[in-house]
Amino acid sequence: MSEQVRPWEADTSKLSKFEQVKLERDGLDIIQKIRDLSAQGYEAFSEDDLSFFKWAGIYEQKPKGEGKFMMRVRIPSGIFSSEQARTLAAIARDYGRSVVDITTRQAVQFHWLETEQLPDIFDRMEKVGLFSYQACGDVPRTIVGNPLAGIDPNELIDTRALVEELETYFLLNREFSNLPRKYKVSISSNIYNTGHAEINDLAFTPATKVIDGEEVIGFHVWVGGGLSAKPYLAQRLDLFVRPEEVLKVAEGVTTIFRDFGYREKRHHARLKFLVADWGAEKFLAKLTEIIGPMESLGTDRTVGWNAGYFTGVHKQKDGLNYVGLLLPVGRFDADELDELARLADTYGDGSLRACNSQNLLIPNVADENVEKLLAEPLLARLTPNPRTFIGHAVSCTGNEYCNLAIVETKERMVSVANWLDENVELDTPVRIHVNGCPNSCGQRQIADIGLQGALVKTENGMIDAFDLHIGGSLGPDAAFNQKLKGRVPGDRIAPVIGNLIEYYKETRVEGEKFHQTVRRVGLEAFQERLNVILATVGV
Amino acid sequence: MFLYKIEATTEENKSIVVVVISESDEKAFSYAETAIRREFLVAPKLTDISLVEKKYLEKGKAYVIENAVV
Repeated sequence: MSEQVRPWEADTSKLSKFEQVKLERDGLDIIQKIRDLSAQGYEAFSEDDLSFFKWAGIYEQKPKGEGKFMMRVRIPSGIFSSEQARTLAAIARDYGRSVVDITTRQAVQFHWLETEQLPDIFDRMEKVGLFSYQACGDVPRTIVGNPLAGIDPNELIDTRALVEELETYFLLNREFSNLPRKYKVSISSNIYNTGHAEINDLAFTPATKVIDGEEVIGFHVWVGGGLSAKPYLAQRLDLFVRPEEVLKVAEGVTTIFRDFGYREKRHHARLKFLVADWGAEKFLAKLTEIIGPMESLGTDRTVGWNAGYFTGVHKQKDGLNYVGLLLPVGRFDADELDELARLADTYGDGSLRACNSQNLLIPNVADENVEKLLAEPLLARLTPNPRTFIGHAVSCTGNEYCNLAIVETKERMVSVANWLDENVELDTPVRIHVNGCPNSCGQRQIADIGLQGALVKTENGMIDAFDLHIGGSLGPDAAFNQKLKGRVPGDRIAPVIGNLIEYYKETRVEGEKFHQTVRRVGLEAFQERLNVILATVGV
Repeated sequence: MFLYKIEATTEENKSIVVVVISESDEKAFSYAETAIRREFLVAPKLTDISLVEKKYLEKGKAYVIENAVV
């Protein structure tokens, strides 16, 4: 960091304890420290060191204090190569008990890592252009984007170069290695909001504007979105951004967050709190001070939200095909990842793409290769044609690895989705997400039906149970889901949801999605139905 | 150590929130039930008790209980 005194450094008396520590050391220094000390094992690192492991993309895994780690790897816009996939598979196999997760921000996660293994993992990834650095911590995280960028019939422009530009600029940039809190950026030019714009700190969405008699393709800018325990939808600024101005705007917004974001309490530090206080107008005025005047809003080109789902065989804009595969709740193993790399090499162009629905796709498959790819044994499990519920199920890590999760989530989500697929006929996707705690790694708030775990004491001991939240969505009608009263035991949750879906089927008008029905008939109507269900099943 | 948030409902349909420090989920329930027994002259009968959130025990960690009757 430069010697210049930043605004928050002028009076440090009100900074949180961790902010005081952040003044003394740059978070990114931990990467070299890990390289220097890891051979000495877990005990070589202080509590403060372990707090900074996040800057290297590493968290302590449950149970904390036993030297096992989760590592997150940045996959900007979800695009990676077969060579990178093989490297990731090898790391998972050698060090991570073969477990590989795809996250809701298109990243990859390993578990079970030990301190001594970290430098080798860093080296292996660096050789193929992959980084866990800044995948966690108070820094710009991996950039979420359109997994179809460059091949997408529904994008206005190819955003790959823009994502790469931002990735290169922010990664290991010590001007921005001490932000008040985590910072999430999204760039997509897809008209179905593949970047989940409204839940990012900074998002660029497709827009056009006639300037000097010519239609220019660019972006609108949204700031201050985020989930966690206090979810906010991002606010749109009165701004139109040309593609060549994206970096300037991103740098300006990030500078505002760095210099004016709150640093007194960590739970009140995300950009959303500053935006909520300032409002979009004041925020834009400050941004204009920093980057100069910009064009005002153009025409918003987002027309809907596909929730990041791409399963099936689809035509690309260049005539080739992409094959979207289900990865149940985002989890697979090293052998499957290796096999996916082989399939991408054999039938595609050697590239893979991760989706924020925790799924994957193989792009650039020629017509003559589609049937051969579909006949591959791996696609029996990672199917391109999933049943309705398992095909739209998202889960956080849960208490298997996470210290703060109260209940197990991934296996539960799979069993609930499978039960619904066996017992409920439905022609319209209903998206079900599960969170193991009030934090929102499973993005419960944007689901049609969001489950949030709790632990209930019964005569037979503690059991997992879930609160139901219904009616969430992003896109033009973005709103978070709302809680229904009545906590449901884990072993009853599937039939209870099934009954609510029957009510949706009885109540919906033609073409109406689940969240639209909830909003039309109201939460109370669903609550009354739930009350009847709970009384009937004796919950 | 964690700071737990536990919700309970009495037979009279009254909601109680207990914030308790514990080393494990199981003991958190036990501590919470003890705290409830100590709080009331006549210990209420609980119809349900649930653990809904836990945080690492650190200075400043807290829960804000909305809709509390003061």
